[in-house]
Amino acid sequence: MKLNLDSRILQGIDFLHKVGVNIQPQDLAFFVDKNEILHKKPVQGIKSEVIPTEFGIKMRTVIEPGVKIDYPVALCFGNISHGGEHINEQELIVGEGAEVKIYTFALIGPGQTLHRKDLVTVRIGKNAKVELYDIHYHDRSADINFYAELNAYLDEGAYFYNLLKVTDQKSGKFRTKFYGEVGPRAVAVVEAKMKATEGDDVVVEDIMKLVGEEARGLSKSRIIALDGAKAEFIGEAYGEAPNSRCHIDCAEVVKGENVVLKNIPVLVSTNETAKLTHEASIGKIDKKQLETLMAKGLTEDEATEVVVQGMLR
Amino acid sequence: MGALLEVRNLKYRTEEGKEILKGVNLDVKEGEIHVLLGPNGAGKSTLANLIAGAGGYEEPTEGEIIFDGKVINGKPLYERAKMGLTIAFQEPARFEGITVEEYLKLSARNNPDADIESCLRKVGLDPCHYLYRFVDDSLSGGERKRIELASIMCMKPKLAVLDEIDSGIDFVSIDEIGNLFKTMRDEGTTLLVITHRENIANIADRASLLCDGQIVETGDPRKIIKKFEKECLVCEVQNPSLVKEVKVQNN
Ligand SMILES: Nc1ncnc2c1ncn2[C@@H]1O[C@H](COP(=O)(O)OP(=O)(O)OP(=O)(O)O)[C@@H](O)[C@H]1O
Ligand SMILES: [Mg+2]
Repeated sequence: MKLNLDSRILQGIDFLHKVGVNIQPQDLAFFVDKNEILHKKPVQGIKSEVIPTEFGIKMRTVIEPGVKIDYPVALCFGNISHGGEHINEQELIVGEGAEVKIYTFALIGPGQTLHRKDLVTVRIGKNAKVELYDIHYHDRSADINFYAELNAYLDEGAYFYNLLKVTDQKSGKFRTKFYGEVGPRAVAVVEAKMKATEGDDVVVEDIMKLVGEEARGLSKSRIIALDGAKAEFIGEAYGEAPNSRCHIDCAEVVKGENVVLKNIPVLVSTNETAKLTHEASIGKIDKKQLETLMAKGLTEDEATEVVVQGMLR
Repeated sequence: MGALLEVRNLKYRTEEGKEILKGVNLDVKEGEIHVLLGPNGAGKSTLANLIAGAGGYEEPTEGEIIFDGKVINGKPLYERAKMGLTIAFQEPARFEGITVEEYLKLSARNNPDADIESCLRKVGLDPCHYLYRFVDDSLSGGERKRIELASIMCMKPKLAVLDEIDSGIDFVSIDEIGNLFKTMRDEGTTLLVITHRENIANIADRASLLCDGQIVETGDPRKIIKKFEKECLVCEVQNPSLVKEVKVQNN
């Protein structure tokens, strides 16, 4: 098959390299620039329908029961030459016992003024396993207002891992909301790694509902706020089922001045055998960490960079 | 050989006015393993931090710290490290997202000859299992300490202050860690070792006893261990007879 080497795809690949994703055009299954589909390659085992809309696309992806896709599927949702109002709707249905690992890349090019909504719903069947990596490149010159919503419904014994990473140049005004309903013996792990720089306003909200017996949830966030940034974390856990467990772990680190940080934990238990825990830290980088590195000859700035890069990894 | 580190009449008083170090005098000779003994709360870690410039202890209340012929009072931790003076903390920090390999490479950045894997093996950790582990909470206390020791070997400083690096390490035979210290010494790193373990003190070239913020005696390790056992262990925190003896000496 001849590759469509639209220059925007190459530009997107270039952005990905900048955020440390080493990928080539032939590795991409799908590339859309807002609502203009530039590339779509069939992936064995995946049924996917895409409908372009006025403001974006609607995508429905189905993985049949028992299908195991043993290489990562890479999808790009870009704003390379189109910005403005953008709504990106996706539904992923994974059948019983199926397994898949998906990378979605949100790529925002230079100079875009953008009001974007990513609305994603994932339905994970019994004992199925889904890993979803959502990695962003936001060009520094773009004006970004982004809302990313992820709803996950996990059936019995299902496993879901999600990583959201916005750690490169800027976040913009960025709000992300995860809502998970975790069934019996299912496990949901969601991680957010964010860097907020001057003028950015970041809100990360994780809601875990443990609806099945022995359901497990882990929400882990790492937010680095540099000079003049605002960041907020809201973590909610609802222990509704017997022997369900959820842990919320959020660290918000300040590097610089005029930073506003907020951390709001909400733990609600309606079953006395549920166990919900919350661990939060807000503030400067741990002095002991800096000193342990400075004792090796790193300056304070170098040590800070090492700690921050490690947290955002 | 001459003194690599000279501590002269070092005093440290906290902001609240508590006197922790009351005039410490200590010489660490180039090429020796010098053990610092003393009961809990004697001021060993405070002295170690002042020597390294760590933990907010950059500037003593009084006195001088001379390293390699230069007064280093007030110099920041990393500058002292660049001069070849480092410290392994009693509780080294842990890091998310930093692998053992990266941590050791950072430690070795001014020592191009460092062999990271061999340093790991020397502290009893198999590189195959540990290089790609993170230096985070997933490591046990003993593993973290071993990695700290390996990082000092990678760095190969002129002087390393090791604050209870042996505690929590269950070296099958304690001789193993003693031999490690000897290897480090023979490869050019002078050691000031804070420990509570007699077996470690036994391998030292010299030892000093710190009690109630003062060095009571320096000399042959066996003699110092005896004094420590006979007089300090009797009273865990302060030994009145020792304190009296110190006062007599000072007058
Ligand atoms: N910032 C401080 N404010 C008040 N007291 C302090 C401060 N730092 C240390 N101290 C006290 O000074 C004394 C010496 O502490 P230091 O940690 O140096 O003891 P140490 O000899 O290392 O003890 P250990 O064997 O338990 O490690 C202790 O009594 C300690 O409580
Ligand atoms: Mg101590």
